[in-house]
Amino acid sequence: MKTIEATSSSPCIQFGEAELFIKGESYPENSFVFYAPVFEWLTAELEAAPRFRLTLDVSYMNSSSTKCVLDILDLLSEAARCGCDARVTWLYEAENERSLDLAEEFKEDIDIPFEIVPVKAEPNEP
Amino acid sequence: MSLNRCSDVDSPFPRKRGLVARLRLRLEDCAEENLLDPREIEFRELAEAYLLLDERMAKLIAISDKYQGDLREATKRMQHMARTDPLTNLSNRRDMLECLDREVERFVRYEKDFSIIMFDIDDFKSVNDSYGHDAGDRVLKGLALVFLETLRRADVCARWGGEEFLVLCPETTSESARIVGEKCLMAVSAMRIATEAGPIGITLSGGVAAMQKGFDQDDLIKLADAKLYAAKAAGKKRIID
Repeated sequence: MKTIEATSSSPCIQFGEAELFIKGESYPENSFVFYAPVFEWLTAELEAAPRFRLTLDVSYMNSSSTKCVLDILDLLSEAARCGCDARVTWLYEAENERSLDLAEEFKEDIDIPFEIVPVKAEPNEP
Repeated sequence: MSLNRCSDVDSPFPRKRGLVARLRLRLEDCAEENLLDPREIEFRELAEAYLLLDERMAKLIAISDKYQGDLREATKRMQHMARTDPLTNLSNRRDMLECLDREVERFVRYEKDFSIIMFDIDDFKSVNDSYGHDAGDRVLKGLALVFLETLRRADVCARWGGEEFLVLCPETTSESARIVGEKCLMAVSAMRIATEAGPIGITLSGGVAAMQKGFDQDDLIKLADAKLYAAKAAGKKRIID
């Protein structure tokens, strides 16, 4: 698995086999430059992928990062139209209503399965 | 990022960069021609509108990013200010109350021991009266530094009131908290603060209270206050648990 480590302003990105995982906060100085390798990798990966999973666990993103994520979702939608079983999971902290709103906006925009999953702050709770 | 020159701003549609480049070339190619074909005129209008839209969108996103960043920084600063005592840079009473709330929750749910120590500077009024309020402020700042150097990383120290400081010691019994408090008393006894009349020292009194079943936050603070009062009554310069 290839990893781009998180910084204080950019998320951790993991590229796995037919999966992509983005976790953290996203407001890099230049989002289009930051996400360029993701597009490159994803475009190549989706060319012949029968299935693909994208997991987003991003608590905050600025406008340009939002645009990049929309572009990533567009790539997945295009792949799905070509027969790829592409799915998205959006994880958010249950208290973070802004993250839920954002997820719902994204979900409206695309026509592939998009699951929105609240995560509790204390997973050990009974 | 400069917002003044569009060329500095990356296209918000990186996947359409090829299209943007082709449109620009075609517009340049036909710029000098006498356009009579209505389809060509329509194409030109659409292409120009698209390129303008692309440019404006890039600018708007860049402006939005900048405002979001500024807002985020301002929010962080305000959050810090809302929780910090400006003189000593320690937590303020509000921050301590929130920390206590969380610790009480942890105690109720997980039975995690914790203790608090209420400290008060002995005869602080006489420092202010004899050496002035500036010297008093220096004492408070110096004491804050001593607390930061002496306490453990997990402890939280707040300026509770004028010359009162409250320390929260997570996962600590009352006996251990007393040891922590005594270390603070020792360190403070070595502290000297410069005044016009030369360096002065201060002493502290402290009261320790450990969280108990059936206690709420107020009960715990009242108990620490009572222990502090007992330490004062017993001659100051001491800690009682």
